[in-house]
Amino acid sequence: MSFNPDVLSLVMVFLAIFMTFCSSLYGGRRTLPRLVAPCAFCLCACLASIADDWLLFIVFLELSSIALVFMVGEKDRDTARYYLYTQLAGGGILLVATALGSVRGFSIPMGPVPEGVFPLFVLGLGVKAALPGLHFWLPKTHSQAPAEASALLSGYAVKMGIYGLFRIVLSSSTVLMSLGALMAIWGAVMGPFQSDAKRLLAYSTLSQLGFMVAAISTGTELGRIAALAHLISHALAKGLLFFSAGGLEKIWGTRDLALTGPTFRSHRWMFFAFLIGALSMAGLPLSPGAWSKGLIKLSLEGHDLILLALTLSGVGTSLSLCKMGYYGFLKPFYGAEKRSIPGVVPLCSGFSMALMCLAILSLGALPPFRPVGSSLSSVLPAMVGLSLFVLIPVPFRPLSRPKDVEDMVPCLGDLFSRFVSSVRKLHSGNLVAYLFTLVTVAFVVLNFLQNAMKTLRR
Amino acid sequence: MNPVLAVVAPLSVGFLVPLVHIFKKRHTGMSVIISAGICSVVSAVVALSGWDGVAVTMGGWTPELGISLMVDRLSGAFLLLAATGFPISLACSMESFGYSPWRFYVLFFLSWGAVNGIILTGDLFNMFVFFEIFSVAAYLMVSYPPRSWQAVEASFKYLIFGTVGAMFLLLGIAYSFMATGQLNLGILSQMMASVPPVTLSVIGGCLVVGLFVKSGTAPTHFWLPDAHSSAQTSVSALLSGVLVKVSVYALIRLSFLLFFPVMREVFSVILFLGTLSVILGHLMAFQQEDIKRLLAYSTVAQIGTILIGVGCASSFGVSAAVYHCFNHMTAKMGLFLVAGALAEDRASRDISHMSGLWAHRPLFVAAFALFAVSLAGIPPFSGFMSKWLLLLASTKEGHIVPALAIVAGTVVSSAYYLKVLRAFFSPSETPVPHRRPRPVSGRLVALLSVLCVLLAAAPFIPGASSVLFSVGDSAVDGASYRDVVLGK
Amino acid sequence: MRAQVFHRWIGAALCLSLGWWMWRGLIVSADPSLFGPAAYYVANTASDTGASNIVAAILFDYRGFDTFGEATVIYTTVCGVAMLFAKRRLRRSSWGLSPIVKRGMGMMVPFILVYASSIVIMGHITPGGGFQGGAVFATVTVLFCVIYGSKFEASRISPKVKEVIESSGALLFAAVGLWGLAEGAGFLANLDAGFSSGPIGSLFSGGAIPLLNIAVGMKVGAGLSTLFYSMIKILEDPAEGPPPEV
Repeated sequence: MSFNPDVLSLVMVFLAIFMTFCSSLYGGRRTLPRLVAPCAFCLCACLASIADDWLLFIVFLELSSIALVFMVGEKDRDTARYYLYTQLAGGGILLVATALGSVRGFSIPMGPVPEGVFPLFVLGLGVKAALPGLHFWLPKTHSQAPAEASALLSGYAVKMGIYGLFRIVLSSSTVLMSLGALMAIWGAVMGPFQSDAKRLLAYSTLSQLGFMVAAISTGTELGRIAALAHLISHALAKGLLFFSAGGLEKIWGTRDLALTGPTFRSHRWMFFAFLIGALSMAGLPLSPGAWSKGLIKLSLEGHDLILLALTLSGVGTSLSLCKMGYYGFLKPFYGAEKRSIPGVVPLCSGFSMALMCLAILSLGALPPFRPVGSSLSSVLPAMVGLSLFVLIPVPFRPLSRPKDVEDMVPCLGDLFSRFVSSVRKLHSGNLVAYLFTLVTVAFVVLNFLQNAMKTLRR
Repeated sequence: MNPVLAVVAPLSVGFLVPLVHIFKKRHTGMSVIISAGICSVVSAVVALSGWDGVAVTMGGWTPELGISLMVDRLSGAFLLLAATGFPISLACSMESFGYSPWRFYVLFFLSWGAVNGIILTGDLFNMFVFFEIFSVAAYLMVSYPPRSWQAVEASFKYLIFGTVGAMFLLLGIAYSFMATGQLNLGILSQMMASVPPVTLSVIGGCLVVGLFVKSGTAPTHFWLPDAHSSAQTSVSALLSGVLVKVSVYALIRLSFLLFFPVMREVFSVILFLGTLSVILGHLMAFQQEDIKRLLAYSTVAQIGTILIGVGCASSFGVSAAVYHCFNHMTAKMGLFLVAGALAEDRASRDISHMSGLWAHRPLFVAAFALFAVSLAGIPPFSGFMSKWLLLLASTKEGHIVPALAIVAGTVVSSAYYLKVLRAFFSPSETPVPHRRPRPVSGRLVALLSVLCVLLAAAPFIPGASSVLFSVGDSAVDGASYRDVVLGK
Repeated sequence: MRAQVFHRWIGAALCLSLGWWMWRGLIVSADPSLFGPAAYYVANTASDTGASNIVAAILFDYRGFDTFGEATVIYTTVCGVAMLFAKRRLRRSSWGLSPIVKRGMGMMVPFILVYASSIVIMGHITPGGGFQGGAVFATVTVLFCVIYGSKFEASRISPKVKEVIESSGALLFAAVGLWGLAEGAGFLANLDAGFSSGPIGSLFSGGAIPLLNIAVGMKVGAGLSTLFYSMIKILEDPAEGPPPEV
């Protein structure tokens, strides 16, 4: 058990520190106890990303999730618990997978895992990275958490799952690639129909995670670089977008896009910050998003269906960002729905957002990765999205939200509690029934042993 | 030191307490405290001096004729567990009852002696005798003080179940005596191979079912939640922390000595019922409104976790199980002490009435959080370490369902402990009725927290981890047990 | 009602089938002779322990530690029952029987006591022993309650005295055991620890076995008596007054 940082780990460490710094700055003046959770998160996340074996990685991953639970819980306890249980379950599956994989010794070194436990690892990391079907926790958590926690969640915590995938996927995997494409499409389809600003961003996160998964599962060096690049650019852009969504919430007291109004008039700077994030996300040239999306598409040369899916999801991303921009910042109030004085965004939040903008702009101007011609390729879907939004605005009005996997969770919870209460009925307090059970157990055990011994004798 | 002293010392104290009470009434309290210290030291010395295997036979007979006592690493570990748990519980009962219920202390020391006897004995029937003493004392301690009818009812239920379990044990012993004519465990372990398979299965079934009942494994656990929750705080802590572990010890000892080479299916049974206990225990704990009942059901689940380690039928699994026994003892005793103190302050055991306690007793609540987190299996606390070892042990033998059950248990148990902690931390409108100073409980809880933290560090200390794994080796190695008992 | 009957049938069937599985496991050896340690005990008891009662020798010598435990079970039970009823006071619940019975009993008591002592003391040469003799001792105190009324015994023998007898019996047992340990022959050692064997069949034979019998007799006699007097504490006052004196 030791720590062994390589380039990938160092990038993650740097990102963790930067994101934590920005989000703590965004949160404003804090008392000392409220600084503990972000610091603990940052420390654990850094240790997790430089860990040299899977056990250590999982332990610190869990600890960082628990630190994040405290940040989420500042606003909404129920969501925090929901997040905690899903993360513990995911971590538990990873632990079982690690235990299964470690034939001797206590753990397996960080890196590719044995063939047999690969699906279990994907399952466990899938909970963390919100693979399709396992993403039930993501929209709810991201939307209910405070803005700084959402930024950390979307900007860093889910990326730890991606980081894990980086370590186990070294060869091309069609299944994983199609899962990534499905994720991208799913997020892009669900996003534009949300009425909650942060939910909308959460689905966009889902779709961008799909890009990364698809790129990683090519198994090529280019794919890995592309995914890493997208990881960074998405973390910065999505952090900024969540910050501005948090600003909206502070100003209007709600995240519902139907109730927000012309923020542009009172907070012009915030709109520009939003614009920078949105454009980077949509892949405008000279932004980090453009470089990284271009790299991803380059790495997926030859997989036409996947490329098509990613292009389509680009349309969805652009649509949802347009929706947030219009309803959140530009839409004027009509008649009776005029609201009184808007709230204010604290100065420190502004500083934090400015810092993020600076990072995005400098990264866009001086990309550390090889600039490629195809960085223009994501402009087309973005433009299509914009024109769609302008031409057919009706379906995108913020009215309701469509159903998703997470709406099955209460049903499952119902089933679970029904099962649990049937277990409870066994404990009726009836001594005769208890003794009956005891004799039955003795009978079954005896029967089993005698049969087993009989087969042994033959 | 002669192992018999670890049995005779607590029993003699039990016989002496009435005399001291009658002739020197003023000195009862002091003498109880001093003799508890002596007993604890004697047990520890016996455990350490016999670490590499010591056996004596009563009355100077050969092991075949007389009754042997045997210390090896497994029994040494459990002796140490008892030597830690009993004084802690005694100190807590001294604080809450005072010195007046001297008969209670008699029962206390008798059960201590019996526990040491079960751990040390190398004779099947002798083990049954000590099981009887320990069970009778436990039934009676549960019913103390006799005024509360819940306690008496719980004690009655415990009595019925304990007796049925003891009957199964006795049947198993009778069958093995019928088949071999021997009672010495070392000799029996040699002769088991020659027993006809049908008889062997009856022996195995009866012994295992009897011990399941005694240790409160699901689905024969029905006595446990009542007994552990209705008893007084210190007794609950003792029951959950030490007494159920003794049955687990007997299960480990008997199953490995008698059935390890000849009937592996016994371990499948243990594994299956262990998994069932984990699931049932956690699910039931999840629904409890009564804090002590919740902890009692969590004990069922933790016993299941320990049995999963035993059911792996490997040295590694037993080591992990023993380690988990220690972790569970420190954490569950602490939880019961804290829960009992807080419930008394609130004059209610209902979790929904437990608000405002963080402001009332912050250190107790903080310790509760530590123990709960440790027992739920959140890294890097001690419960996580032992659960990780148990996961490794069960997956190494190819059992994936028990491993998943342990992991699911972690999620569920964090849910119910969180429910309790949430109640503790929530502000309350009504002030806490009364505050009785609890200096002793406070110190005990502090001691247990320190132990809990130290246990978490144990696997990282090279010496300690090799000691831990040697415990499992000694449990599995029947040949060296025979060598020591038969004096080769 | 119908469901209850049904459940009873199922329970009976379950128990019977459990019994059937266990029945199959029985081993009935064609050879009726003893084997294992039992054969050794039969052959060598006299020379090993000096006692002519093999059962007593097994109980108090070969497997004396078990007996120590068994006596402790009784001790535990007595202590626990006394604890359960500790808060109640012993009230008068009966006035006893007629003067004729009282007088008759008075004549019989010495004989019963001698009988009980003989069972205890001669446990190693005749059938009997500490458990049985102790039970007879306890019977005397029970008879006192029935014949002389419930308050009689407590006025003659204080409960504390019984407590002392019981505990000292238990301690005597432990002391004999520890004597063997001190002599270096092992806990509860008999002849090896220096107890003299004596001629087989005489009263002073069997080494420490008579001593242990006395210890168990004290424990059991006083214990059962305490048990009885703890449990009659729940009886109510008799409605009528004392019977007329003659």
